[in-house]
Amino acid sequence: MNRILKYIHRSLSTRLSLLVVTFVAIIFIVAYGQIFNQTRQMVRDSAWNKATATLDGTVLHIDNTMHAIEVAANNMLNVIEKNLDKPDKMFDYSRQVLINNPELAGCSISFDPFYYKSKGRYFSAYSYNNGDSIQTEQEGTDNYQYHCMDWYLIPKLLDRPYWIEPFMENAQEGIIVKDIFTSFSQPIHDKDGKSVGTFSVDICLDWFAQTVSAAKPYPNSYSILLGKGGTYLVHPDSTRLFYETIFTKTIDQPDSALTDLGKKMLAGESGNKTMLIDGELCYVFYKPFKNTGWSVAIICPESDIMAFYYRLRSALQWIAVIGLIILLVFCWYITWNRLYPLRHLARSAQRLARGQFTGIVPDTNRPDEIGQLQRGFKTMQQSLNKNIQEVRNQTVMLEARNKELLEAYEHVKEEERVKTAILHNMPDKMSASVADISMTAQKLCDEHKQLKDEEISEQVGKIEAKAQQVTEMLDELLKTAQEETHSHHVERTDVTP
Amino acid sequence: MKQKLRYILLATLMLILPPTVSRAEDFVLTTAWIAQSQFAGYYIAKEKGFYRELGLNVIIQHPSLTSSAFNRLKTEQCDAAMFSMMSAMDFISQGIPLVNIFQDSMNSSNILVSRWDTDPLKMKGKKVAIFNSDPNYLTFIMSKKEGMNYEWIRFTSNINLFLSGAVDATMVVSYNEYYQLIQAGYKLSEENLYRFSDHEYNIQENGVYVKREYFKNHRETCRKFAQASRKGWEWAAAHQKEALDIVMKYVRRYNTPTNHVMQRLMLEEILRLQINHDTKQREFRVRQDMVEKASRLMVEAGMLRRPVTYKELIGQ
Repeated sequence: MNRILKYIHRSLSTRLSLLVVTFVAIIFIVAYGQIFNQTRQMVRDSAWNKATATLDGTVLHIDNTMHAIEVAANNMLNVIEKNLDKPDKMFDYSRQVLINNPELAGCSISFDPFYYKSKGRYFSAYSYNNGDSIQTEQEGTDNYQYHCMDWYLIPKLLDRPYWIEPFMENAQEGIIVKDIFTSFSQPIHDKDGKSVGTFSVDICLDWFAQTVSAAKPYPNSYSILLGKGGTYLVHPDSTRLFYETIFTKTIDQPDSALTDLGKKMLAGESGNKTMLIDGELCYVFYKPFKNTGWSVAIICPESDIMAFYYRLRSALQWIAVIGLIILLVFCWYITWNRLYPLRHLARSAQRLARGQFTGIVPDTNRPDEIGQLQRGFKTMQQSLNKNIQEVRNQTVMLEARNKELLEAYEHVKEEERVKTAILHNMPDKMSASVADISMTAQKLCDEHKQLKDEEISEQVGKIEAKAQQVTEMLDELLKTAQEETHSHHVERTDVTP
Repeated sequence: MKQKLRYILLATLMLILPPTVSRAEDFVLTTAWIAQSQFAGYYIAKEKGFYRELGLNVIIQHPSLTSSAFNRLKTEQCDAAMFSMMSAMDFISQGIPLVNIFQDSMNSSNILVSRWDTDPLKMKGKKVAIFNSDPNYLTFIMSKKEGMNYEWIRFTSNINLFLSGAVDATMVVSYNEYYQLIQAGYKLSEENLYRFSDHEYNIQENGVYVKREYFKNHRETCRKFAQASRKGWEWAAAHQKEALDIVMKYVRRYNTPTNHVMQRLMLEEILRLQINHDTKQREFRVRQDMVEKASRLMVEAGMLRRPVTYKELIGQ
């Protein structure tokens, strides 16, 4: 990683390329974000419309069918209420209902205990469709006390028609529901308006469940139907049918979204809701049935609804990523190529720094800044080279002169040393000579009487020799002094401007 | 020849002598209702072999709309049947001698639930739904004693009548319909509930009863049944998860319209109702004070022809 960072840090072309790609990526992200947002909204709106249309169509279709049953039942109710004085006709009426409405599974015309005294406690004319034929019988017994059944009690107590909660029949092994039935029940009134019994038609809800289940706007979407107590009347998981309500799961695992959905559906509200179902984000569209008070919901997994959007997004993301990689490579190549002269100049500069002023800086015709820089650099290099050459020549010359000066200096220094030595020795020698002269002269003065002439002559000769030496020394001193004076004079003359 | 005679003698002895391992004794029990957690202890005693260990082959039956537990016992389709204590006392006072051989309830599960956010005791004269299959002794007694004068609406089962708004209140039991209401998303508050166990009407409910005649002739069988049943319930209390699995097996076998959550809640509540409030113990016995209270209340309400005693109820 550090190597990569170092490389990026060192390489201008890589840095430039990354900057360009980053900038372009930011533009991409902003633009794509906007596009994705808009597209998502469009797809969602479209899904909303599709699911809502499916739901509306399903509800309308079922409501119409239920309404047709209500109309048929109402027509027969009028006949029953007008003929209450003919109890035995009730069997014909119940049979007639099934003949006229083959979609009905059963029909019962049931009366309060002892309404017909001759008929006893139970009197319920019940006809049912037995497949090939219609059977009619009196269904109330001590073992089947219909007066306590929901379908009899509820419309009677409410004194209005009522769709009974669906119930199941012919359940096989396990908890698999085979057929679902519901009843449309309404109170029978006598001529005084008093409720005397219940007229009820049964309908098998296979078609109902199929219609609801067929409301499938997306491949993985599904429908549920809730009864008035929240019971699942239609659900893709058949083990939940009739045995569970929408709230059952929330007892063990509180789920405020599901509870809220259940309450809204049971309250007869229409709407939609986004929520997690079994860990998957889903859009739920719900609507009640007008007649029955039940509520249907279509559940569409978000992954289903947004499948197109996700495909598009994925494709665009790949395009963007690949595009950016290509752009990065292209940028890097272009900048690397365009910056070639700079690299060359950098190497030349490094050579210059090392003192090599003779490297080749190629000629260029580029009119841009790099061309100008290259030409300028070349001029600078040539100029530097020339100047450096002059400096070198001057240096050589200076070195020669310095050498001469040094030699002269050494010569002068030697002379000075000799002179100093002479000056140092001269007085001693002169002193010695003068002392000899003086001693000799003293000896002559003291002993000239005892000395022979030859000895005196010898002594005088010595004195003369010594005097000669002193004279010579003095001459030499004078000469040196003269030379010194002359050299000072020369020096002063030289330094004087 | 000697060898042949020895084989013949051995074969003759094997035919004459009774088998050393005796066959388990059949004992048919009819529960009070369809298959559910309410009878978990009996299912477990059977499935875990507690009955078998004591030499009993208990066959568990469930009643239906056309064949009640009482009819089954009366017609000797079963050896024992489950009734509430008050029902058993009623039968006894009517001259049908019954003996309690095992008591699995220590408290009343009855609750009166009202609609419209009203206290059930402030709904004088309102329509109250009661189970058609239940004699509703306590409900009638409470209504009379509290001066409520409710209008009774008999219904078969479920909570649909109540949810439809056709009645103002309904009777539920705390282990079943009460949870059905919760499962239906019905908002319940304590103001809407009248728990009989919290008032003067806490009377034990289901127990296992046999005819006195049977009891006289099969005391040991009854004792063994009670012993194994108790063991079953104690095992259920100690292993609720496994107990629930066994219950669900029965639920599925008999197509009971319910679910795992409801049965779990039912089991928990049934186990809670088995605990004596005074001793905090799971006792599985008939309480003399409750028999006396039930007898007194029922006699006062004109429900019993004569008082029924504790000794009578337990076959002494």
